[in-house]
Amino acid sequence: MSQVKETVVKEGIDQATVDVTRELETYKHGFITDIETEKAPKGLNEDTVRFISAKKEEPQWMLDWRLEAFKRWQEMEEPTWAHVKYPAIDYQDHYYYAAPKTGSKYESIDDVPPEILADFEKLGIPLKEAEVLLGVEGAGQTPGEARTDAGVGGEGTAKQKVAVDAVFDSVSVATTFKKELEKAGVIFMSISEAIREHPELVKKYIGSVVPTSDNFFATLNSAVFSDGTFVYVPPGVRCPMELSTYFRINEANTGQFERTLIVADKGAYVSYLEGCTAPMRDENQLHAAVVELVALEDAEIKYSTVQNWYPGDKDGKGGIYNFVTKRGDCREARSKISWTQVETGSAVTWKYPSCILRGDNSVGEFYSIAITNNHQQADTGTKMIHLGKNTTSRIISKGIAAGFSDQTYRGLVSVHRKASGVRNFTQCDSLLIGDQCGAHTVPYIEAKNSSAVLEHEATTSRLSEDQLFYCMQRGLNEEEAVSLLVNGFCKDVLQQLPMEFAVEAQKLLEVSLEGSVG
Amino acid sequence: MLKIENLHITVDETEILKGLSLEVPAGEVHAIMGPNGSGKSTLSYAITGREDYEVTHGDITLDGESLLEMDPNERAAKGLFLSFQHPLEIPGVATMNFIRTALNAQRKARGENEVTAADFLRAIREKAKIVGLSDEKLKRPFNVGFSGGEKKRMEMLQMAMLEPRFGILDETDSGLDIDALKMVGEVVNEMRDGSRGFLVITHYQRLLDYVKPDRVHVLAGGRIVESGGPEIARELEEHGYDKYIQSAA
Amino acid sequence: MRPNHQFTEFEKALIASMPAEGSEVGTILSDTGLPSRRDERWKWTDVRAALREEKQPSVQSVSSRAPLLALDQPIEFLFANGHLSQAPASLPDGVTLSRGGGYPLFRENLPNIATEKAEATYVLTVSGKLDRPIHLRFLSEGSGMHHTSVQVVLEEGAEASVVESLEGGEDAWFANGVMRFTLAKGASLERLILQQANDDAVQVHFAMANLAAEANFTQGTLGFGSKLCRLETQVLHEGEGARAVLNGAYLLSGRRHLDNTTDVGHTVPGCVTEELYKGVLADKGRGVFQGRFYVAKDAQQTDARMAHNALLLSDEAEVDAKPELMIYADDVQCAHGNTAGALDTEALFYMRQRGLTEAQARAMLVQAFVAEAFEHISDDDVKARLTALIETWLDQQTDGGTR
Repeated sequence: MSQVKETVVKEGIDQATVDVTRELETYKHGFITDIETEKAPKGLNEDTVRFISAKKEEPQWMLDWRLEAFKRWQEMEEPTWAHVKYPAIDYQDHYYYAAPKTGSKYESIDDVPPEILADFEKLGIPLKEAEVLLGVEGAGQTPGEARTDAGVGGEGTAKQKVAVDAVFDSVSVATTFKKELEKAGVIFMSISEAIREHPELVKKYIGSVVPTSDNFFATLNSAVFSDGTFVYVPPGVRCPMELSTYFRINEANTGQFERTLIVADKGAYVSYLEGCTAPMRDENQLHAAVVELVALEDAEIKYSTVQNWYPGDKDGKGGIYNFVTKRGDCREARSKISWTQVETGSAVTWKYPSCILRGDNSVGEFYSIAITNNHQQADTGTKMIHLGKNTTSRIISKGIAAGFSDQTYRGLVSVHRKASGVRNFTQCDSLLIGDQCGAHTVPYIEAKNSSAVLEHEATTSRLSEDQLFYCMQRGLNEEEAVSLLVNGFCKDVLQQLPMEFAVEAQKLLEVSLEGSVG
Repeated sequence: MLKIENLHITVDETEILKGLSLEVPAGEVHAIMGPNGSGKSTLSYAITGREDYEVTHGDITLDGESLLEMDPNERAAKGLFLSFQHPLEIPGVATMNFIRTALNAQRKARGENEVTAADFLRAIREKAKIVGLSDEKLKRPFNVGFSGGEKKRMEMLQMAMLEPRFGILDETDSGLDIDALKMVGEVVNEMRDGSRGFLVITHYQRLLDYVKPDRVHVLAGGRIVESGGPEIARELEEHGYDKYIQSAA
Repeated sequence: MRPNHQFTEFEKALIASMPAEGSEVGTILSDTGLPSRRDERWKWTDVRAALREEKQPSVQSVSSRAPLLALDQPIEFLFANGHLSQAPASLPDGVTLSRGGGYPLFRENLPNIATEKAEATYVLTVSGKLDRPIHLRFLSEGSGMHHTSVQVVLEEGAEASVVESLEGGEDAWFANGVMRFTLAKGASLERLILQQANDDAVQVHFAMANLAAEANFTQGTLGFGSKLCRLETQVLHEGEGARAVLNGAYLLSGRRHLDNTTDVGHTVPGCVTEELYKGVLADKGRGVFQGRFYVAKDAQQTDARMAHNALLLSDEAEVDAKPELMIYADDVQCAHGNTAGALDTEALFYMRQRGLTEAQARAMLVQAFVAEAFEHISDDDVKARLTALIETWLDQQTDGGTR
């Protein structure tokens, strides 16, 4: 009996390999928009930094800040500790600024070049308010209310209102829902605009979570960041809609260096969604973003990412190098920061969304699904730094490796001397599909307070053949069975995603794993 | 013998007991009945001295001596025993070793001689039979893998071994079948004499068929709201706690 | 050489003591120096910082002392400050003692230095079933440094038990030891490491075990730390069906530091590793646990499990843990768990309600916590002696007023 089952699955693997190969050639978002762009001269020196700052009409303090970062960066070494391999990056062989030539500011959505709008449409991003509104169903429900266990990704569930700030290469092209947000007092605009319009806020918070000296990539970003998003939610305000930015890299050899800064003032709440896509190109493109979150007393920030940058072709050619620094600061008491990420793209990912739990009773969460296939490499995880009393954190990481890919969960839970009453629970599960890939778990746990209760669990396994067989005996085909089981494996994380993303994420899981049965 | 005067207990900044007074004379069995959340377990923890149960007013005395400044083990050595509502599993700790260490620690604190290994073994085997625990169970780590009923039997075994002067049974009946209830009755009735007291905390009347109380008190909203004879228990069984919940509110 | 590397007096003297030419170990040493927190594998155990001042070679004699662990009819070898000063006049049948050499280098340089600087690499070869334990007593005292290198070879089907006691006298000595275990097909070795030293001593004791098919390697460790102590074991499953058990406990008080590092490689299918470490930290004790399972592509049907649990008894104590999985095969069962926390207050209250004093209750819970790491030990006498050592440690904590 078991012999028969073996054979069935083994045959499936061969078919699977074929299917995976086919799938890899069809990166859905890999189209290139044909518009003229204006670029900074290739390469990186002090003039590049001045050029970017001037293009953005930045005040002197911002330029000084950038120049100081650039000075530091020149003295830094690229980190090598992550479990990823890639050819040396020639930082002089990139463009550090690219903007659509028609100019960066649009009076209204109608001024946006139709090619760009069409591009976003292809990406499935509703840019025009009307389009968004058409998609609104059951608005006013929170994602939690709208969702049942079975409903994750299910069709026909409620859609949320979403305000979109789209970053097309380096410039934010349009912002929707601006008026409604303004009414609530929420500031949601590109960081370039914010530097001009709200310098006092930007100056106060930028670099306060990720200092310019933080790490090689963050420092580089500080020097040359091109655009990004700024959100400020005033005291006591619950942001009336989900905010969303879609990042997209279009121009060849353009490094994209977004800078995102989100501040939730006392008692405020905001949920932010970030999505990323990039066209298919043979050369590797560099992406080094910095995201800073600041939650003041009783504030809550929920930050969700679906990352499906181009992962390169089946031989590992091309794809994005994604070196991101994301960090949240629970700066005051009872604040909460929650990171949720679905990582399916990029050739190389280096990313550790972290929480500094400074305020007493603050809460940090990290929910992650990472899927790597072909020759993708991902080294991702989180850091939970417990500084305040009674701070709690929760880490749920689900890694799925297929093809020739290599992925690592790397996480730190650190409890400082004076942080009494700390709780952490960490669970890292890895699933290997096929015998040419690798899945690794590298947790660091540092406890300096006896009242801490820290629990860490990790497992590595493959899809259960018994479960696969069971599903197939009930009539599911192999792909459906794999998809069902992988979804089950990821359920704890999928449930954390806002509705808008849950559907997309689940589709992504299916696409990324189609046919890859192990 | 046990006297509680105007006891106020605060847990996590919430006042649970709000002026509870109670006296159990030597030789008597008193029952405390009350709805869920009325503070029954808080009372048992407060008497035995659990940390975080802050006494803000009042006093608890045993034979005229205040217990409030004493550590839990000092209270135990004075003869207080609590049969826990939810007995713990303590992995890695051998059952026999634990009970013997407890017994000798109490004896030492009272200035008595330690019990020899042989005497202890004889006594525990005999009493294990009464409570219905096999030798094999005694050899396991403390309560590890025991059923709910077995854990309650282990509580009764310890009470029989430690021979306290005052026993508190906190919902010992929950989760027990008729045979086990009878066993609890046997152990308590065997120990009843003119100098020992018992406080039986329960939600239901059924244990009181086996352990006949001299007095029954109704605890609601952190106070004793009614006291009387065993008839109160029967009345509660018929009519429930509604009238007390309302009157306490 | 490392950029901006300032050699310490210790490093300079050690480099100078290496052969002038032809020493690859010396070349590496003068290139990288001693491991420090800048090295990923030593980030929590900075040997370089612990050994700054120059050290002379230790004198080759020590004062006699009773063994830390009394064994029944041991085959005893005594290393006094690195010098083999006592060995049995005759060895039982099936055991031979010889000198070895020509070993390939380890990735870590300290064991390479030990091999090169030791007076010899002593090789104990065992065939058949040995019914008496081999006791390797490593005694250290004084303020010098010394190195030892011992290899234990078990021939096909052989069975033996080896106890290494790392026993320390007074003063700030540095002991650097390397052990090599080679288990042929079906061989079975029970290894026990016992470590106790003073607050000033620095000790690194490294072991590599190569397991052929169906070999059984069982290791238990009980350590009490020192100024800085690292006990490292690397295991390589090289034949199918091999099995390794790596268990250990550490109890640290004062300012003692103990690092238990293990690295287990599965290169062939069907091998099993079980690992359990328990740590108890009082005062300013600092425990480090690093565990790694590496499962190569061909090592299907690997079953590897690791757990580390630490109990913090003091607010000034620290535990750092890195349980790591590196998995390249898909049909495997690998898991690790790590916990850190204080004693269960509910259990403490329960026990005190029964009459135990707080110290008694704590001691009993700590004993119970640690005992699990020694359940695999087959010899009840040895187990009882380890328990007694733990009891002694616990008594000292109570006497010292540690709560």
